[in-house]
Amino acid sequence: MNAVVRRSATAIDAALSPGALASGAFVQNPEFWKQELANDIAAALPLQAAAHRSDGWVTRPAILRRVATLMGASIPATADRIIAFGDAAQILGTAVALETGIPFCVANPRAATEAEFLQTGTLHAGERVAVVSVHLDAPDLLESLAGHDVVVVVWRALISRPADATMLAADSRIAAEFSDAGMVAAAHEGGDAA
Amino acid sequence: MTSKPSIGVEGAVALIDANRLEQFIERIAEITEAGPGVTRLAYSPLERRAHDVFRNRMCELGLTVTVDAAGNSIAELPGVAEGSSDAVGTGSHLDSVPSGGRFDGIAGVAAAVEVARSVVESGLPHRRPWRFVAFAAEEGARFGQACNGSRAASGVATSAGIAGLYDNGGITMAEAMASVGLRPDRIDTAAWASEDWHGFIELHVEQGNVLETSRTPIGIVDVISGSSRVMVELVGTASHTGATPMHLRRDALVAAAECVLLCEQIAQNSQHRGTRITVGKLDVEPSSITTIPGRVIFSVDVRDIDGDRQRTTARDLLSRFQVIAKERDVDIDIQIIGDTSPAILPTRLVDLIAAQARAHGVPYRIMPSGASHDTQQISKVTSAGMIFVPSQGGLSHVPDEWTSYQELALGTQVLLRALYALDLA
Repeated sequence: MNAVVRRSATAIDAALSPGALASGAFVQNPEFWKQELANDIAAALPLQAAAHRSDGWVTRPAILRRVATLMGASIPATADRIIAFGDAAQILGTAVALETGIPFCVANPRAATEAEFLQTGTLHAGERVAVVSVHLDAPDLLESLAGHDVVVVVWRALISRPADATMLAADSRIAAEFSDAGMVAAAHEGGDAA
Repeated sequence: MTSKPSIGVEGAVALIDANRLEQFIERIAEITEAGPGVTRLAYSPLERRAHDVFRNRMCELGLTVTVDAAGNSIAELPGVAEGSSDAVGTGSHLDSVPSGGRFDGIAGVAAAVEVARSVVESGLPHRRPWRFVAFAAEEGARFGQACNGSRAASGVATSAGIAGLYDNGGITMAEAMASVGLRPDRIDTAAWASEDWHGFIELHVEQGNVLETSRTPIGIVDVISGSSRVMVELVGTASHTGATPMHLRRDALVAAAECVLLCEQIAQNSQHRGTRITVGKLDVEPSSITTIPGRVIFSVDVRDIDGDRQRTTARDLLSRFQVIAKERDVDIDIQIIGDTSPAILPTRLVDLIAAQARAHGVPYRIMPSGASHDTQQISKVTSAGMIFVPSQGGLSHVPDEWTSYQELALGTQVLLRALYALDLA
């Protein structure tokens, strides 16, 4: 039996990776894939006060699944647990945990008492944790986690805001996939998000 | 250009006339090859004649009409706001599949013409330019690739990219374009600039039966499916049906049948709600009652509103087709012929259209589109939305395709309201 998979030289958007056939057909160019995801998140933002609400996209599996894939890819194999917090934390934590197979918990850095810090799941001293969030809006989170005697290996946010620049520059463990400015531009003007 | 004192958007909406929509659609339906239904293929002289009708109507209304290198006809009505060049747009396409219906695409162009007429005759003031577009070559039936005119408008199409597209008669798309006076060598000049657009809303017939069965006159599309397409060739051994024992056969059609059933099985499992897989074309050789099929070529069209799942499914199918071929000892050759991502349409336009439907007192449904549309390409340039009107019996791409003109008029009224709201936004 001979098996050949070929790709037409035409008729395909630039979306597919040139090396797709070597690794299996229909593999998208990673940059194009990420840009499409940014556009889709922007498109799903609600009409008003667009940038700071996530329910437009976290309720769509076609977007949430890709967000989990994107954020899951940046979580090192050494992570023992995922900590989700902030906007849509329960949904984001669940999605990234399903993607990676790593247990997760949901934290509230602004909890009034220590007993209220964990909203879902458990966290144990000595664990290496990966933080996931939609935004970077808890500058004291790392300090809180240090108090729990855990090691933060990475903090991955989906969308950064201009005010996060200092925080991003100060700690190499912290990174964001997209910028808020690009999202807003794409949501209101069409075209590609940065 | 006719100019009258404005009677406001309500007055303009009241001018939308079902009879005029019918007249335009019937006029375009006359431009067809002989045979059942409507046959007005992409980049044919008949398609250009239909564009001529569109252009003449718009010129009669006093609009400025241009035709780009890809064959898209664009009529513009200037806005009153000084320095405002980002336009509000609407439109659809004028070509058809072989033996198709009279509404697919044409309904959206008819709606655009009727909106233009009502805006001009009512003197409805609008801040931004309004553009009315008849896209070229939306149907993929002739060249295997859909949305050719809007792909050019979105900047996706290139001269090099279209070079390998040809029809069943061996005519390349570039040759067909040139034969009707278009410029395939300059197709890149048809690309729209994002800064020239504020938003675009296409009206289209649903081509399914969700609206009809739910007795809902308006659909508002929130996502358009993407598609991944392949052609699969299976080669076994053609031989005598009586003389060849069953255990010694290399029957390409039996292997193909297993592949077809696998497509249905995957599309129906719980992980694929929203996935649609179709084997729509299957050619058997030598196609003889007394000869075991030695060669089968079939198409597979995987459509999904989830781009990752669409491609994962396509990859899975190709892998499992190869397993089937190996088990049945037939050779397999798979060619990827198309791949387009789904388009999630902006929530702000979905909400805007929904608000206008409510203001008009019309029930609506938010729904996905399983079919590809020009809006899918235009959404790469500007915020884009879609309005569906019901398809009788859910039929499309057949001569019996039908939408009542009253329902089309209702959809056109909502379209006009939405365009006006978008103009003010």
